Amino acid sequence: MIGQANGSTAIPAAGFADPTRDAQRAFRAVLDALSHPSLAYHVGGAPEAPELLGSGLGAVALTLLDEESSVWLGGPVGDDEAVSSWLSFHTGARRVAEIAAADFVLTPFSDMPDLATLALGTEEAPHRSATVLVDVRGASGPARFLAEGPGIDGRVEFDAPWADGSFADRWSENNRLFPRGVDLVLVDATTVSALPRTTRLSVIDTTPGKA
Amino acid sequence: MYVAVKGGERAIANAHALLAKEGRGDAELPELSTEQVAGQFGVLVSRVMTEGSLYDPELAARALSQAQGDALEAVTLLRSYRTTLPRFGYSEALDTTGLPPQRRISATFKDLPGGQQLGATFDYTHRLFAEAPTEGPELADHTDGDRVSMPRVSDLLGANALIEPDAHPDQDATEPGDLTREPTVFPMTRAERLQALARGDEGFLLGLAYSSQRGFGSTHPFAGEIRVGEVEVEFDAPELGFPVPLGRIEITECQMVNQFTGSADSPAMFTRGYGLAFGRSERKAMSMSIVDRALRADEFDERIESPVQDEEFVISHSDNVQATGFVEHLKLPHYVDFQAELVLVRRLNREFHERQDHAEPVPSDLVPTVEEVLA
Amino acid sequence: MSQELIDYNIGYLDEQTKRMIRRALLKAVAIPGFQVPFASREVPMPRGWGTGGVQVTAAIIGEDDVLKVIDQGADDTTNAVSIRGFFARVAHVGTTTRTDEATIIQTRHRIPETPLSEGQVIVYQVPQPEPLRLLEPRETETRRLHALEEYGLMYVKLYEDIARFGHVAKTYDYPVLVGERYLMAPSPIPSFDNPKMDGNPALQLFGAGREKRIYAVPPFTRVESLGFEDFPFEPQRFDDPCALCGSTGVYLDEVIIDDAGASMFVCSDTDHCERTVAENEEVFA
Repeated sequence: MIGQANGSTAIPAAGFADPTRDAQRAFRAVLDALSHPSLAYHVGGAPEAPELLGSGLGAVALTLLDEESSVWLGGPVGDDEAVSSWLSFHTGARRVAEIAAADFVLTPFSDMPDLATLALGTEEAPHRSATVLVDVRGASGPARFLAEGPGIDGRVEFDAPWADGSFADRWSENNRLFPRGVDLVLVDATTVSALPRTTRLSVIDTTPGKA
Repeated sequence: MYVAVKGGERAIANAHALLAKEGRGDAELPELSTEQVAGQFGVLVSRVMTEGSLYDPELAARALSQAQGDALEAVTLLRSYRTTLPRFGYSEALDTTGLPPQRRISATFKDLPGGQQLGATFDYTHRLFAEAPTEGPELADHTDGDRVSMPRVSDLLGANALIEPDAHPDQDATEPGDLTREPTVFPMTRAERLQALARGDEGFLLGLAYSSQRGFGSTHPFAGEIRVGEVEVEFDAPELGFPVPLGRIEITECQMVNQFTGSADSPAMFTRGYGLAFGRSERKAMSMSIVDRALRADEFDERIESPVQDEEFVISHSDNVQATGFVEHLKLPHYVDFQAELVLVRRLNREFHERQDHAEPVPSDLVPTVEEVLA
Repeated sequence: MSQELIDYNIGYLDEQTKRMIRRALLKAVAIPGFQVPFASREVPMPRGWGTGGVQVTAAIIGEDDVLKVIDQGADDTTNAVSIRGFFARVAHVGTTTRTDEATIIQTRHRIPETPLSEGQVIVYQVPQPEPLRLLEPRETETRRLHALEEYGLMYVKLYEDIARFGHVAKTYDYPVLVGERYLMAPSPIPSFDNPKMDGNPALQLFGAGREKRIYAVPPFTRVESLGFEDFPFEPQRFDDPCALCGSTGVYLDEVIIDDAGASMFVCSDTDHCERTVAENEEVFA
């Protein structure tokens, strides 16, 4: 269980209005995103989710987490009582203190831990690795990548406003572990995109005057 | 002109109508009620519950009726319903030492604390067709008065350290996995193996146990104790902080005691095989306990050379829902694959004759048999 | 005893089960061709009759979807009809027989002749997900071989075929290498269909219920049928056109038409055949 609200008896805010249908739609968005890296898909939200978590990420969490999965919360969401009790109440996911033990890592991009410290799977069981659910709301960086790999017809250029200067290098470290490695699901307020461990990125220089 | 076969939908509807008609039998005779099946086919209902992994005699009886008595079909029905039920939690481990047995026998001791109790059994009945009883059978007065203590035989042996402990101390630390909820992979833990065996096919486990008795992976078993009776199921709700009883279920438990001559690391002692089944399922519980012990070969440094000792072989093939489905799926159309084979066999056949027609004799080992080609 | 009506969840599976399968699907897409173990549930059809495909479809399908189900390429074979009826009943989805109208296609043993497009999902029913199983029966062993990318066993088998027969004697479930990494069983589709898997714009999902494995080929992923430089992979071909619609370059079923064993060849893909017949009629009308 994720931490119980201390002495508080407040009932957490609502989850999905229609759990079966809402979860199905959100899942298809995530599946589409992971199958088409670089493309963003609309994700119907969980409008009552705590503000710190956000409606889109809240929906993805409700869709993927339950009592059979473990989660590690990074950055401010990790300390937020409303997020804790909301996730606990609606998913029952086990919150773990040790990051390498987490099936899911839920974090804002700015607080994303070193990917090599997450569960990376083994050569025999590369699926026993973490999926990182990243909050990228409000990102407006200049990053632009050239991507190739499964799910992409040849190569494609795409904007990654959430990425920072060191991300491409960190990501290629993750690529090198294949078939081990982590997968990223990037969620803003209403859309989801994803980077499976198979997507290779190279930086496109967007410095003004060079493009 | 040839017209492609159509009408799968109508064919299915017709087949189902015919099935219902066959299942109803003579319409002049009253239909069997679920209560009658549950009450009068208790052993069969037990089997369906055990292999269906769901304790619900009424539902199992209903499944049997709908399946027209086909036990495996009933098991499939029950399982496909069970799997849709949300999981609220896990019960506490059953305490079978407190099990007040309706039946309790031990083959290892002539007399023991609590005594032997024959109970409802086919043992010692003459397998002669009985006269149809005009009234229900009469029971001698049964005094339920003094509940005598009936320690388990394995505990009696355990007190003298002649038998391995019930569980290794380190075993308790981890919660057993749940075969029906988590992807399990080989090698399995004993707990997972026991779950698989509990839902395994009675006939398959019986055959394996028999093979072990006949020397293919022998475990030298003695029926330490067999108990049949009702036991309480308790659920520990975290909000309450104490376990609450959910109800009682009838179970059959078998503790097989097996000879073990010792190894470099451990002294000679008896070892255990364990079997547990819903309802009255003695044959199943006994077979299960023999197979359980045989599958522990690696724990005791025994040579693994027979099917019954081979975890992947036993567990992969013991589930009758899987087995019957896959064997019976051969009824499904395979004409695409068969067509592919047909084209190949024709080609190989033609090539064979072309070679024959030419001067060079072909070494016979170059000529494939049909089996080889189809393999 | 009055028998209670038993209610099933939308899509039949309970939400916990769907989440478990969905998590497995995401891993499968992320590691193309790798068999992800999943806690396969019983479903209301026998094991071996598409229970893996049914679970995958049940985990992804929604009311906006349009489902097509084929068995041996045909929409009207009994098992296809049965599975389509099941989803119409428990998932309230629309169904179709037209490949181009479907959002999800569940299939046993064929890939439709009509090319799939981006956004479509094809779900394969898989009897044996392990391509090495008939060469190595043990799961513990094959798992290790995949980890080491050690596929020599399979190449030796193919090579022996060539040495004996002059060509590979495997005509369906012909092994493929996915994303230049994992050896994968394409399910018992004829080798004729293998080339369609390569770089396909649709998402290809594979469900093996009895064997408890899920795997995937994302869109635009390299799927290479095994071969050798001097003996490259050669899909089966048919010389004759379909006797009903005249299509060439399609997979044909042989139909015995009289007691003397005379036969004719017709499309295995009934949707393709019907539509081609209709188009021909328009042209000649």
